[in-house]
Amino acid sequence: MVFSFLLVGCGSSKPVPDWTDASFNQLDNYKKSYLSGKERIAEAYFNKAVDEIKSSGDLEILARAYLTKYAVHVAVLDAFDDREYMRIDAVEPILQNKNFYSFLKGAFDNVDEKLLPQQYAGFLRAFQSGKKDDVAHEISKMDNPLSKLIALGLLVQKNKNDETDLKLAIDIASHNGWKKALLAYLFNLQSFYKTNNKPDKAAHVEERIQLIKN
Amino acid sequence: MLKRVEFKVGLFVVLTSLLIITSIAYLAYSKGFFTKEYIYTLSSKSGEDLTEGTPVVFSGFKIGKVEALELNDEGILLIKMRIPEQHAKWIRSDSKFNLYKPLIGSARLIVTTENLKSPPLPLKTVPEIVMVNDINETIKRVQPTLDKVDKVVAHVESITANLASKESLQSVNESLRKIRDILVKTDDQMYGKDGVLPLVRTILKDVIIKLQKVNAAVDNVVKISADTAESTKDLKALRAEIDTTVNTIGNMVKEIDKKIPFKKQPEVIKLP
Repeated sequence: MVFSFLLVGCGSSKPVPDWTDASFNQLDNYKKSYLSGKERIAEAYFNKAVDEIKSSGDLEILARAYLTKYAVHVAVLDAFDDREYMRIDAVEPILQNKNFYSFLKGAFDNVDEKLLPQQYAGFLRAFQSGKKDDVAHEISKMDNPLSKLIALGLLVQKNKNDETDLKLAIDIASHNGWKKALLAYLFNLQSFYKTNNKPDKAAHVEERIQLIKN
Repeated sequence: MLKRVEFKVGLFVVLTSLLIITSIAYLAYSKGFFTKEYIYTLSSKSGEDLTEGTPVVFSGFKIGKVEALELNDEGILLIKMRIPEQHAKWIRSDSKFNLYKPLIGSARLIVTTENLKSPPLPLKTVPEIVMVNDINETIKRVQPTLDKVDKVVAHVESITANLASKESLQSVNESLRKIRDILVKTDDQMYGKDGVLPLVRTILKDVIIKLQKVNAAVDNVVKISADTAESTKDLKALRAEIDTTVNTIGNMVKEIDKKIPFKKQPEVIKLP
């Protein structure tokens, strides 16, 4: 009976507004669907998330949502349209958001590692040092697979990746069932092999792609 | 005494008889019993409407009558008419004898004498009578009218002929021919091989085929939309159900969250 009192006592925390949870969940759904290749559903989820956030009018969180969208695009080696974020940034500039935006854009010179989410700080430092092993090491330290993919995507974007990186990305995507990411990196690997005069491997990859594609 | 009576009676009888005879004689005389009568002979080709007793008339006055009709050896009718002496002077050698048959009434033999000074007609001469029917007269009188009518008709005919004269007739014919040609051409254009109608028909056939396809497509669409409508209704119902369920679950979770001390942090969006 005392235990139940404790429960009741301890349980009473401030009630969380619905939109916070809802928007979080919707954005999460968006990430999952987009990485899996279900782009239309992903878009629907994203719009719902944005709607929920807009009901509070919190521009910082709204900016974060858009940045999340751009980050996911980077992870699958896609380009992204940054207009929406720029509009928000014009109204309410947030340093961390701006910093992350520059990070995603690959403008590492503008990026302050202290403002970055902490999983990327080591990565950025390693990248700027130019030491390949450190970069790989930093990526392996990341807990979040999406963060790993984002980092790998940035490497590909900057053309600083090698075969191992691609294979790692393929593994991560495969493990998580992120089809879109998987295919993107497979294509990239195939062209890597073609460029580097390894037609057999390229053909092998091609076959794998054909099996997975549809 | 008796002689005296007989004498008186006898005298009376004689006188009376004399009286009677005188009367009769006088009567006879006045009646023309004692007049001399001449019998003239006339001839006629036909004995139509002639009978004995047909009056002989001069200037509308009866001067005699037909006594007998005979046929001579040549088949010609001889008409004997008895004319009293006092009227015989009217019958001259150049008199004309007409048998006048009025439309109504009996026939009469009309004597026409123009020259009374001409010698009297000898009894042996047989002039020919001329048949005059009233109908003839009528016809004669009608004839000019008929002539006029004829003329009118002729005029009309000429007018009509003019109307339908060569030129106008020709032009009418021309117009008719032209119209016919136009109709033929139109017919051809419409119905001919390369005409409008076959083309229209082809087009229409095409359109019909396409419409049939469209029909089929529309049927499909209708079916699909019907199905979709049906399934949409179902979907809607399901969604409503799901919504309710999810909401209930969400509320339950919230309630549980409130009860549990180690509640997870509120999930807030962070940079990925």
